[in-house]
Amino acid sequence: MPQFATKHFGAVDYQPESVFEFPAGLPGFEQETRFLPIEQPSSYPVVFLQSLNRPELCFITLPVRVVDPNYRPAIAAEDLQALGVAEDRQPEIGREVLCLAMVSVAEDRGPTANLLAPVVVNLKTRRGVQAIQTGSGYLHQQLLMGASGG
Amino acid sequence: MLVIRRRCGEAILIGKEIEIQITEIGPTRVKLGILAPQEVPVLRKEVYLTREQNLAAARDLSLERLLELASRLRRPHL
Repeated sequence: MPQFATKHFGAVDYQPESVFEFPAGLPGFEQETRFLPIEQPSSYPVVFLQSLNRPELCFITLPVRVVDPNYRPAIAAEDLQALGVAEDRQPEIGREVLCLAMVSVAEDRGPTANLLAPVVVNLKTRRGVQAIQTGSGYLHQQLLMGASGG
Repeated sequence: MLVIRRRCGEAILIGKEIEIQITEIGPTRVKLGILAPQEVPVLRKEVYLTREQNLAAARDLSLERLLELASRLRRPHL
C-alpha cells in the first residue's frame, strides 16, 4: 500500500482508489489535482483534504450538512457534467456525491465555511470539482454555528 | 456605488482601456462583453471569492485549535 507524508498525521498508508481526482484543480490551486480524504475519530466531523503533491497543503473541510442541515446544492450544469452525474437534477448528497465545505479561520473572526462553492466528489468515480454556485444565496464565509462561542 | 442605466448594445468605459458592453438582456440575467488589457484579470466575483477563501483555508491552523473546533461541532445526531 502506498504511503504519503501528511501535514498533520505523519506518514499515512492509503488505498490508491480512495484518492479524489480534481482534473481542473481548485481555484487558487490549479496544479493540485489529487487529494486524499482523511478522517480521524479525534477530529470528527472534520474531513481533511491532503494534497498528494504538496505535503504542507492540507485543507480542512466539513460536510455541508454539518454546517447547514438543510443545505440544498445548486450545482451548475457544467459542473454536473464534469462530475459525471445526471445533469437534469441535483445529485443526492451522501449517496451519489460527497459535498464538503472548505473551512478557513480568520484572525478577527471565528472559523467560517464556504457554502457558496462546495467541493463536490462523485462517490462512484472519486472525481471532483469545486462547484461555484452562482446565485445560490449561500455565503462564501458562513460562520460556523456552535463554533464561535466559548 | 455608481449606478447607471444602459440598454442592450450600449456600453460603459472604465478608464480609457476597459469597456463593458451590454450584449443581451434576459429575464434574470444580462450578458456582458468585456474588453480589457491582457494584464487586467477579469473574473466572475464568485470565482475570485472562492480563490481567496481557498488561499485563506490553506494557511496554518494549529492542530490544537482544529481539534477544539471539531469538538464544538460534534453533535450526537450528525
